[in-house]
Amino acid sequence: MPHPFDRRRRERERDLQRELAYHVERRTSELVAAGVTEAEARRRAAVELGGITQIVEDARETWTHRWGGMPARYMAQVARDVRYGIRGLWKTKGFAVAVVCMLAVGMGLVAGCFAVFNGIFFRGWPLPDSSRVFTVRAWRAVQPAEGHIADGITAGLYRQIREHARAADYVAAEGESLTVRRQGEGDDRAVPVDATFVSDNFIQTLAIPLALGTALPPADRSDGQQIVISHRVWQRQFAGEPGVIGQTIWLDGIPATVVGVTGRDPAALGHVSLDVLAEMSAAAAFNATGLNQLSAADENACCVAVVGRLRSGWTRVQAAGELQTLIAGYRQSAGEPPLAIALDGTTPAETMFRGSGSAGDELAALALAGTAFMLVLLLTSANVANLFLARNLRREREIAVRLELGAGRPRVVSQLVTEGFVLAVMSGAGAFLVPLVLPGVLRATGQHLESAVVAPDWRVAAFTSVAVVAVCLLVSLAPALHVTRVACHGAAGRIDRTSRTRGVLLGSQIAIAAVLVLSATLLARGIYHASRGPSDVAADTTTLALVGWPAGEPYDRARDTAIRAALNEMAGQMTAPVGLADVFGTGDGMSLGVGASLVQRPGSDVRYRAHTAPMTGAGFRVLGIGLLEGRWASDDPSAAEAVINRRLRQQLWPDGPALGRTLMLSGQPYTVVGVIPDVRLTSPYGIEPTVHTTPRIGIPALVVRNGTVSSRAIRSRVAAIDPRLTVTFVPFAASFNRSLQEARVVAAVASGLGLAALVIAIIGVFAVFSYLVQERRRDIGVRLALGASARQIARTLLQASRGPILGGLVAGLLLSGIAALALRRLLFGLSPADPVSYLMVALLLGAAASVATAVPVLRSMRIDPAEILRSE
Amino acid sequence: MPSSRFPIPQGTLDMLILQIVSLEPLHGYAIAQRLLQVSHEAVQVNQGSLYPALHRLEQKRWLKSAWRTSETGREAKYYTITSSGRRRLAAEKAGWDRLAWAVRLIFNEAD
Repeated sequence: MPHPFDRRRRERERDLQRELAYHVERRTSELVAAGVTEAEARRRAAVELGGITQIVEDARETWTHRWGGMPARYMAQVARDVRYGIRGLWKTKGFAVAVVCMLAVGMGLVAGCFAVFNGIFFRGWPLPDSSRVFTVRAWRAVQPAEGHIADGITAGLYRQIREHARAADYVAAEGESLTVRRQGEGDDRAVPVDATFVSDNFIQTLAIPLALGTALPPADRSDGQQIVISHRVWQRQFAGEPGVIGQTIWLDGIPATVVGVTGRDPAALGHVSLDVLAEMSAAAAFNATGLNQLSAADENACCVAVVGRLRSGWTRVQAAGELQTLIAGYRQSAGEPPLAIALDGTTPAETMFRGSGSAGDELAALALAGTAFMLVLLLTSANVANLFLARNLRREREIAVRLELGAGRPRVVSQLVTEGFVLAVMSGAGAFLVPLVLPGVLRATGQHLESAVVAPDWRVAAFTSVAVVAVCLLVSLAPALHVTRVACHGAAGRIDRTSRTRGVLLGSQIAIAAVLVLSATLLARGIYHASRGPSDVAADTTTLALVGWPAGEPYDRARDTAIRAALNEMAGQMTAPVGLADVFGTGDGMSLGVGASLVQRPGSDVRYRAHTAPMTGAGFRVLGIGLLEGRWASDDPSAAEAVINRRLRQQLWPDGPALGRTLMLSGQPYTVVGVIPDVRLTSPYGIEPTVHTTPRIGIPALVVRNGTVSSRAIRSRVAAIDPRLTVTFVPFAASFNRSLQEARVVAAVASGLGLAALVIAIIGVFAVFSYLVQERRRDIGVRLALGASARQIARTLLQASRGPILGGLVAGLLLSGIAALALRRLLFGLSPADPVSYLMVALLLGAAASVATAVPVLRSMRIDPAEILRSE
Repeated sequence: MPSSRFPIPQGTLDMLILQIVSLEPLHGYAIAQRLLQVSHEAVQVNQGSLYPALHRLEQKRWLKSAWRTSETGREAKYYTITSSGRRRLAAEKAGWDRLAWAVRLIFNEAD
């Protein structure tokens, strides 16, 4: 069915045609009556009236009034401009496709980044009426100068709050990683899940929808064995069987009965994946296994997470005041120091990153990525603006004629900008695919929590729309203003103005490319620097022999303990020093020891964060690390001895001696027997406080100096212990892989962006010079005819763009300095002013600019003066 | 030598059409004829611009139109002035008078 707008228009056109036909008819009969022949009369009548098409076209302009005056007329004009723009672009499909692809990539990156930003800062938990839901943060109000005392809301305090609070309903939760398997399945089929021990009102208060069954029963009517599983676990473990309700599953070897299944969406609240929900009273049974330490089971153990939902008529400020009073009363009566509290919303920015040490880093990384993507978009826009400028100048005659014929300058500018708008809209549609596809990609890589966070919503759509308008103005407004100005003022000063506009565009392209390429170069060099291992340990002359079981071998603690003892004995029998060290993870995720362990002095609440890297004394000797004081720990783990580094020693015992003191690590006492200097042994990022015990759990890796023991000797000796054991040799620096993972991703992304920036800049410079040669074709021909040498011509051409290119390069290198400072943390000690990087980038961009200019300039030399003069 | 017929100043065509139609309903051809007659053939109206002008006036609701049988027996589109068209015409006339008076004043002073 035709659009009403079209139907009315066609009716009016028919009307007008009839009217005009009548006019011609009357005039013809008048002329015939005056003695003119019929054919001649008809011809004269038509000539007097003028072109019918033009009349219809003019009348059409007036018809649009009817649909509501100005806005409608404006809309109709826009529609006409859009049609005009599409026709124009259709004629230059190559140009249109190239521009849409470039802009779509640029805008897609920015839109994707915004989707992440949106998820972190604006997206709360997917719960009904989630604006009333808040999280409670509580911490010891007064902390020691060094270290940290963990304190917060205990299960006992939570029960007080729940009972007495009137402003909000409160729930408590504590997460733990467990394994789950179905009834009748072996331990090897058990899969890890995030279990959450919650208060019995959790599901009702947060209004978590259920797909099947019921919520958890009230605590007083529960035996603690009922659980609710998530939609995901139901699908994965039970293949979505409706008969799952009432079935028994095994959580870490403890039986539980499934009473409900949650709906699909709230499978996660913030960083908590609600795979399995169990009542808090069930926690005691899990603690009894000795594998878990759940605070939910203990009235006074720190801490459980508390979430509230405001009752109607109450505000968050009132709830905070009430909570403060309740907590203060409870703590005072229990004789405990006061707690400070804060109520936050449920966006990841408020929940995930609060109190996590890496928050700043992750947000900084996001900001850096956003800036880099924005720069790429700007670069692309500058390039496209350049293309638009060249294209507009090619149509200069057409535009000048239209201005002559009375089209106002704003009218022509709006038409040219509409063309840019059409391209920007098409690119925007392409760009929106990135935020649309992103959640699927994350889900496919198993990051279902992240995928929920970045799912696009109206804000992402609005942002993309704003980006479309901004890009449209960026790429088409300046060229449109420029070409209409040129056309208005005629040829006078044309070259001057054109080259100035183009110079600015060219210079900014080079500058942006310089920033991106330099950042990428610095990051890549930083990674290279770090992956060779820090210079203060002999990483490049040390090899790790990773000993392990072939895949599929079940875990057996007692057997592994025996293997460790045998390896220890074997190391002692070697002629050269061979150390033992605990290396966790494999391949890209490898690390020496584990980070973020908590160390305490006996009898003190104060905890210190430290990296635990179990390694024997021989290992340190192989790595060329000596002792500052004391001796190495005994190779027998039961001696419970530890060596610490200077930094941890300063934190724990800044004044007194450290040797002979006891420290608590994961609740176990260790005697400090030695102190080593601060070296970057566990992380290339810098010095961490570290504690080194004797390897105690699982099978350790062997630390061997290159060239001292042959790999064959190690293999045969390990095979003598158990022929099924596998041995893999990796350079010691591989133990930094885990810490380098993030940096590697950043470097890879930066390199991709840098490469893209380089290619875009080359295309831009190439286009500018090609156009310059085209524009001055006649000039060049005449000068060649007058005897100018090819060299002189090339010099003239290069002179015209030397300023912008050099200016852009200098500005770019200066801006790069600022970018480098922002990237400092990811450079692993490489100076942000690394001269090699700057030199490399200057040479690279110089070479790229030379290549991009050489081709058009060489082409200019092949211009045949005779041909130019003939065409004059 | 300047033409004896001068091009019609921009914006005046609308006023002339309203004036002509204000006397009686007319079709486009008759309006064109009347324009020539009343101006004693001194005003040169491009006939091509007459029809868009009629449509414009109709869109502004200063004219309305209807198909009727003409004096030749054929159907023609007749334009009639509306009350808002009359008001507009009065305003245009007043404005024009003021302008003409002002221009005459300036010319007299210069003489």
